[in-house]
Amino acid sequence: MGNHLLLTILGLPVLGTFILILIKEEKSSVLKTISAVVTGLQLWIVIQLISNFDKSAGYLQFVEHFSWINLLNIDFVIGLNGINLLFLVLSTVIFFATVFISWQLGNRQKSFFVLMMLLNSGITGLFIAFDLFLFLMFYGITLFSMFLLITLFTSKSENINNGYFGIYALISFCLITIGILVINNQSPLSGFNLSTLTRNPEALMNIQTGGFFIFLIGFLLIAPVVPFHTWLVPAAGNSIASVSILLLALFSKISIFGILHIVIPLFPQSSIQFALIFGILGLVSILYFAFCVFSFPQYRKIVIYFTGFLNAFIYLGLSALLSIKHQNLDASLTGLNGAVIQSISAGLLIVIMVILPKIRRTAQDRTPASGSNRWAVMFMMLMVLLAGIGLPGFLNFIGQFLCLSGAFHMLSTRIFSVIALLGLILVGVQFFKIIRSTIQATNEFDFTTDLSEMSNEVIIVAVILIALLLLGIFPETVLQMIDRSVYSLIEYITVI
Amino acid sequence: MNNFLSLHYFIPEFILLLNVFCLFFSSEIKQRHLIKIRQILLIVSVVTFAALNLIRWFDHPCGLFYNSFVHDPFLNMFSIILLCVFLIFELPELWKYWSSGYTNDLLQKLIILTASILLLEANSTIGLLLCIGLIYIGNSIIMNRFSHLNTDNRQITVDLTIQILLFGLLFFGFSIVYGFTGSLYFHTAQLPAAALLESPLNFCFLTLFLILGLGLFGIILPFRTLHEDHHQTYHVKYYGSSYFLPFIALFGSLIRILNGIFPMIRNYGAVPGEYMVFVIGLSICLIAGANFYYFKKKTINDLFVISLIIHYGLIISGLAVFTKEALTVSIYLIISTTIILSGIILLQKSDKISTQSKLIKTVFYLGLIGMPGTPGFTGRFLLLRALYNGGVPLRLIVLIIISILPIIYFYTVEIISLHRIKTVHPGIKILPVPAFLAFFTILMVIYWEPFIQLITKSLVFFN
Repeated sequence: MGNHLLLTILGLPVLGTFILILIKEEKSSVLKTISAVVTGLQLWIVIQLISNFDKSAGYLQFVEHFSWINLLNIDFVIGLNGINLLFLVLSTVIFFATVFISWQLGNRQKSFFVLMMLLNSGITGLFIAFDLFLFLMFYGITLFSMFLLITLFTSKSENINNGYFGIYALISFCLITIGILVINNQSPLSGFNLSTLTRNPEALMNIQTGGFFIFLIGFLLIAPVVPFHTWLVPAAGNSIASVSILLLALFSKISIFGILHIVIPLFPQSSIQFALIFGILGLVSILYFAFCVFSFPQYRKIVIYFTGFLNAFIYLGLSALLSIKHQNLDASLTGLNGAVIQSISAGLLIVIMVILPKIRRTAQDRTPASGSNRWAVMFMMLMVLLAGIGLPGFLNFIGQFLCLSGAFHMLSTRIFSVIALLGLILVGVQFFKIIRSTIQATNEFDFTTDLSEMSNEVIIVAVILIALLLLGIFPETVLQMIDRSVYSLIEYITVI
Repeated sequence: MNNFLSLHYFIPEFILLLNVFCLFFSSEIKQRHLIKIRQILLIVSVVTFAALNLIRWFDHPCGLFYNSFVHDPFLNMFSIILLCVFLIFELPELWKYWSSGYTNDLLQKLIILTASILLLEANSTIGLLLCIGLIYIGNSIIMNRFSHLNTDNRQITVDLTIQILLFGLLFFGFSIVYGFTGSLYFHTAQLPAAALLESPLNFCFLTLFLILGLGLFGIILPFRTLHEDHHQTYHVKYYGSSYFLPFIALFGSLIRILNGIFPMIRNYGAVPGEYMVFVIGLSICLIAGANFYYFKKKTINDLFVISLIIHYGLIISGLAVFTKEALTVSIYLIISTTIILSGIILLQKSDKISTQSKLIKTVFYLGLIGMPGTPGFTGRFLLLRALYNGGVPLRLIVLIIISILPIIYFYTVEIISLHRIKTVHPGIKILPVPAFLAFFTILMVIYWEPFIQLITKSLVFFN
């Protein structure tokens, strides 16, 4: 297994899906145990990958390359660079946590765990695929399994609202398919292999603008970004908490991964030329979502809009690509590093934010048995909220700071960074209100949400919080991992 | 070779014809030993038919019997496909036949199988029209003989009218071919390239009659056979083979005819833009029309009917560029669609739903949605790629994609409702044929390349 870590990490959820399908619905403990074992093994492999990862290298590592369909020049290529590795870590941690959070799930346990494992296969494959056709396959699996999870595991009967997500996902898939067809048509000899395509940039010169926008819109359709965000509240607001975690913490990061993995490397010229679009999208989203967070008293909605708010910083960070035009590579490096770190920290933060009402309930539980731990839980809850605001010392702060700093270097986007701070203030005010309401135990905010399936939440929150804190204090650990890959990407764009 | 000596190529079809006659003339026989001989003859014939086609498929022999019937690898491939489809639906009938010697149900279907294979062999207008006539008559007999609750003559009249209308369309189309070329034989009836280039509308006009004449059967018949009224009166799976066999054979025949009469496409590898837009437009209209139909009537049987039509529309679009790649994918798509819809039809009658049938149905539905990892996705992706590489403008590709979006949504809704139904465990037997078909659909994706290569190799026509 040592030589085929990536194949194993991809194969495990695929195998897990088939095994779960064969198990009877009544054997819920077996279903949960298998899911836990599969995700646990994935986590162990990720740790192996991190420890064996050469941080000083910007090239692909752990590459598995098989000729798949010679007729069409399609290869099975999977590999890892620093960026992919961090996204893989995020997905593995979230899936592992979700299994334990959903331990007390009532109805349709089998459907949930099968779909979750299918989603796991899709997202894991997506994050390591270096062939466009392979990417498309995993993208389709991801979209479909997420749609089914949202629709089948809704806490309300208003399924019609989930149709928005279905339509957006469908159009997104079609656009990505069209984009891949166009690329293949322009460069038939390169096939679908991403590395080969990036080695022959001349082949895609004619479709720089068209290809860029097809892929960009395709990915943005499933991103919580204004104006493509209308699916967000119906999908996340009606789902059970476990599905909300998968959607808000993980699924919402696919678009940014797609942009970093496909759009920027394949369409470097347009990425620089239209980098301002990223900045505008980021700024508008920051302001819009911050205002929404500020205005709503329902905690569930606050978390949903807060996801959009955190994601918006990533796009602001991407606008730093503009500085490549002026040979300011450091600014781009800062912005892109910030974008990657913000993706990871936002994902982890959202997991604990969704669980927070359950923690709050535990904290307010005044039975003598839980009394001794009450203050510890209350402290944990306050830390979560402070981390949400971007308190220095947490990874979230580093991500936001780097994104703002990257955008600040260019004159045209400098104003964006300044205005974005207004959004931070609005969110900060609202979060301080939540903290006050929690300490004073007032009913200022509506925390009502169905959390019956949740369990093990205190341990999960504690572990993630400690991780965010440690990584926030020692951000070099993460930065070293992605720095070389991000630098190679910027260097490549600059040469083109 | 094009003479009497090529007759030996047609031995498999003679064997099938022999069985048809044998079944027809011996239907009154009561002696047990004679019935046994007849049963053994049928089983041996089916096995021999399959074996001969398989052996000759890879040898690539070609033969033409006095310009009328042609034998080439293209036919070998379709013969095997048709035999498989026949077996999928008729295995219970064959078993009944083996155990009791009861023949009435089998005879008509054997006639349709033989006629479908002969249709694919037909190289002349007369032979083709005769085979189509045979299929239509066999089909009418089956539909009316077994919808026993429907006693009025209205249905018989409608069925016959539709088939006569289609026959008329084809007759008109072939008259045009004859008028242009002066030949009744497809391999010599080559439309003059200069005339076609000067007036590409000739392409469109002719193709319209051929596609409608050969294709409307595949579009109209599902409404007659798989529609709810029939479904209620008789088991829907009974009609399966009588629909799918001609559906596949007519499409194969369409490829053969177009390949013969449009030499410009074959020789120059380019099609006029008007023709391309026309065929794509036709297929988009078909798909959009089917989707609109479903908006009006929302029963599950209607959904199966429109899926057939939508997939037929997609398959037809492969003819727009007429490249080897596009034709290969069209054939791949027709095979996968047939397998998936056959599986669904075979599962359809179960009132209770077991965990197994739920799983199998999910696999089929995912295939129709075009979920990655199913032949539906592979087929559609390859088809779009072939069309784009064949010169179809991107805006038309986008239109095709948009037109198939509704069916993806419809089937997603079906999957959701399927998984909300509570499953029943006891008393439900595992269905071997649908399970095998579900397994085969997965095999079609895993061994996608060998499948495509096999089809590509089979696209060898008698020139």
